[in-house]
Amino acid sequence: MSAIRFDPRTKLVLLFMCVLCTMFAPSLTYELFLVILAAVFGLLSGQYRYTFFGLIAYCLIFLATKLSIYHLTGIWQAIFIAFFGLVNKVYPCGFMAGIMIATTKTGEFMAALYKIHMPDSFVIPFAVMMRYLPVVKEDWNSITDAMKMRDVSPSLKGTIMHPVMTAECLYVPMMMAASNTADELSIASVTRGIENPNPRTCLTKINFSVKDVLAVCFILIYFIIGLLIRRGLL
Amino acid sequence: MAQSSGKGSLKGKDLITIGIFSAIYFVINFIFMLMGGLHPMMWILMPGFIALLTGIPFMLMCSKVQKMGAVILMGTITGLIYFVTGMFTVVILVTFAASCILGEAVRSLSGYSTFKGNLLAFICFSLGMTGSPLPIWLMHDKFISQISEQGMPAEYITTLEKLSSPAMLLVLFLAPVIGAIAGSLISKKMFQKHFIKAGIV
Repeated sequence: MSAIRFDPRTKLVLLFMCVLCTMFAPSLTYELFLVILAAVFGLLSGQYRYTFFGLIAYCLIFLATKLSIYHLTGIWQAIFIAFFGLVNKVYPCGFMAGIMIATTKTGEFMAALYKIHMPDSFVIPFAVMMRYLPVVKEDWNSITDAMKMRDVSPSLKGTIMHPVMTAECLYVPMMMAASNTADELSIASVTRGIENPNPRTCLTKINFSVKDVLAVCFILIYFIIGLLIRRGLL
Repeated sequence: MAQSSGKGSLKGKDLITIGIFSAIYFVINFIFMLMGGLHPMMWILMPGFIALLTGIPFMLMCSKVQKMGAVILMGTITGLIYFVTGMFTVVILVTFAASCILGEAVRSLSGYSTFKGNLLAFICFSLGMTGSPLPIWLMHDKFISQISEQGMPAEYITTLEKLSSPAMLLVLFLAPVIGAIAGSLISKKMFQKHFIKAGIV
């Protein structure tokens, strides 16, 4: 089965509905189904690996939450439930956002944002930020590797023994890298005409079709079901 | 080194710089947000910790983009991502907006380049995160029933109840101020020790 390509705007709507669903989620089971729905969306979009691991991770979190509700007592229960409660709130949206980022090219995404009339000064930093988030993680990994080579381990022990030094060793290279990237990226994008005042064009066609309407209908129905359960009508 | 100098509207280069530093700000912010779930005290001190640790990225952005709108954009983008991850309430929206506007005003009054001006702007900006635990005081009863409905355990809530005294409210607001001052001083030191030598500011 080949991947279906959804309109970036549809993905934004789905993400927004996801936020509303978790906000009004009546129960944990409801959230589990929300994640399953997001997983179906991920499979349709062709993100098999990500969806598979994401779903398994959520099932583990779900089980852990259930376990900590029924089998733990006292302070440990309090800590774990509070933590998992937060994770449960964030996970469905984060999962959905992950699928969205993986399936949408930055160019498409920007074109979609321009189509809903967002100004330049918002779209550009936003797009750069989305693109840069994974780079932060990469930078982090290379910095910690380099630190290990010089025997400045970013472990818990090292952090407690030399907090200032650890922070300095992590922060300074991170900021240097960020600053250099900002310079290089802006030179590259100015050459490609990012400061051109004319409206941006995009080669990929962006338009709604039946599949987009279907996807939005699905999540709307799910949201309404959630509201009805919350009101005690179902 | 190329530096965005002078007044005027934000150019492509400034927008990209803001985007990159917002990403770093967001990552640090998000880690502490998750840790706030561990204990209510962590949650109340969270704005302070965030201020302490985000001083360097904020100051670096301020020194690279000396123009109107940088702080507001950083706040808007971070806020939007919070909304998307489903942790957004109306209160934090209001405090975020207010603190960004205040920060922006302070910067434009102080002429964008002075350390003191940026420090004040950063204090204002950091106060925005207080909107996350603020509902404990603002809508005490409704909030408690809401989070207990959401499955927060009784013990977390009783601890929260105990913490929601006026004295703690003071701590909530003082923590980011102290954190921001400390964070800015650390970043000033880092600037002198590393960044100016490396020529990136």
